[in-house]
Amino acid sequence: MAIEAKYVELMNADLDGEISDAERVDLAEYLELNPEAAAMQAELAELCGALDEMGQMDPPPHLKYTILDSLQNPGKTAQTRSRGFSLQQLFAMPALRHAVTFGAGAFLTFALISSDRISDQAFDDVTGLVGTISDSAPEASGQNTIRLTSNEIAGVVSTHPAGSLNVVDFDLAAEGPIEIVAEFSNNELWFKGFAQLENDDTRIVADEGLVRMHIQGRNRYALYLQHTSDFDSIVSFKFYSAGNLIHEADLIIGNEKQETQ
Amino acid sequence: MNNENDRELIENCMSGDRQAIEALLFRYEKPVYNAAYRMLNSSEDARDVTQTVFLKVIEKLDSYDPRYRFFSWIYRIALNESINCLKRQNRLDALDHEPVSEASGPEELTGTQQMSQGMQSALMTIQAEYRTVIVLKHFVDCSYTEIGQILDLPEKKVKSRLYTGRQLLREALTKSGMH
Repeated sequence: MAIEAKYVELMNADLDGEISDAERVDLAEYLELNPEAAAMQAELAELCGALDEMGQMDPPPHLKYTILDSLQNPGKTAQTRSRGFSLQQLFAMPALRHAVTFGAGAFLTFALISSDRISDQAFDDVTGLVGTISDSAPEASGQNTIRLTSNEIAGVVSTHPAGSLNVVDFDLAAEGPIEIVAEFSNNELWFKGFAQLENDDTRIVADEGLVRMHIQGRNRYALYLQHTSDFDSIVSFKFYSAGNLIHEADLIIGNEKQETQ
Repeated sequence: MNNENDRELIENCMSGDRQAIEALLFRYEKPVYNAAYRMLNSSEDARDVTQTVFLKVIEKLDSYDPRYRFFSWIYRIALNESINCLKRQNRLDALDHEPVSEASGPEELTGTQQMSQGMQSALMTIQAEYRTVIVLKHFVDCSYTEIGQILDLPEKKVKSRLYTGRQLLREALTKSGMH
């Protein structure tokens, strides 16, 4: 026996909680007399139950701050938010002298990112920040800078704000393989992205409150951290060569940044 | 979806109250993101769409007519942006969509997760007009009337699309061996 259209509608309405008492009685009587319709109702109920059980996804934790930042800096947003931002457009932009290197570096490092959560949720498009390093040279001396002059590694790690983001620039040369571990409080800072500006073999692994980088040779790259606290936050850096700690220093991320070591 | 609370919030947003903007964002970020995610099956695209939606909402707030419910307006923008995103990527057929869980292989998924992944995959195979009503009904928890307001459709059409959408979903699940 074919199922009447009226009862198909009532079955759906029943599952959606949009049925009157009289209609419910009518439907129940119909289902009792029509096993085919009752089977369909059971299938529909199973389907709707499965859909409802899928539940809600949590947005990436930094998203609301990114949006608030975008609302404050609408000009910047046009570049950072659009996935339709094509390579052609990128190349057409003047003065992006690192764009090609960045693209290759970001792609390669993105492919190498491995993380349980952060790689999925917090690795953001940083194309809008291309050129940050070249535009903002590290200060010659003093604050928000780590200087390295050991036999194993030499160069500078520095930080500066860019909107609600903080950029940590690395300009380093290492004779052998070096592991750099950056640790920070996950409540205040989030890893937002990475851009390789010179060399393309920096390996990076991001997790909650921790970023590990492996370098060798000459490396210039940038980490992007989202800072959400009104207070300063500390990023602790440890540099390892062959498993031995060779240097340790902190950078302060916040309104007034300074080297603490 | 309390329109009275929204109305007060919107008025404050229109007068440039930053706290009100933040409150609006906190209220709608998750549902907008979820609607976009279910339409697109990509956390990255959902994130971009969510960001675009809020930028548009704030930008066009002075054109919002308070006689209408705010949630209808914001979800309409969210769904339109999601559909635009699909069109941009030529993914309306969406047969080559991303896996739901980018972090886990099938062997690591629980039965519920597998079911959820299969359901999301099936959802991506049905046309956007049907997917839209299913998303609004099951993931945004809208009534027929609310779906009609959001999509500017008569209630009869909403019901018809929802029933057809479910039928298509069942067929897709059967085809994939999930049902």
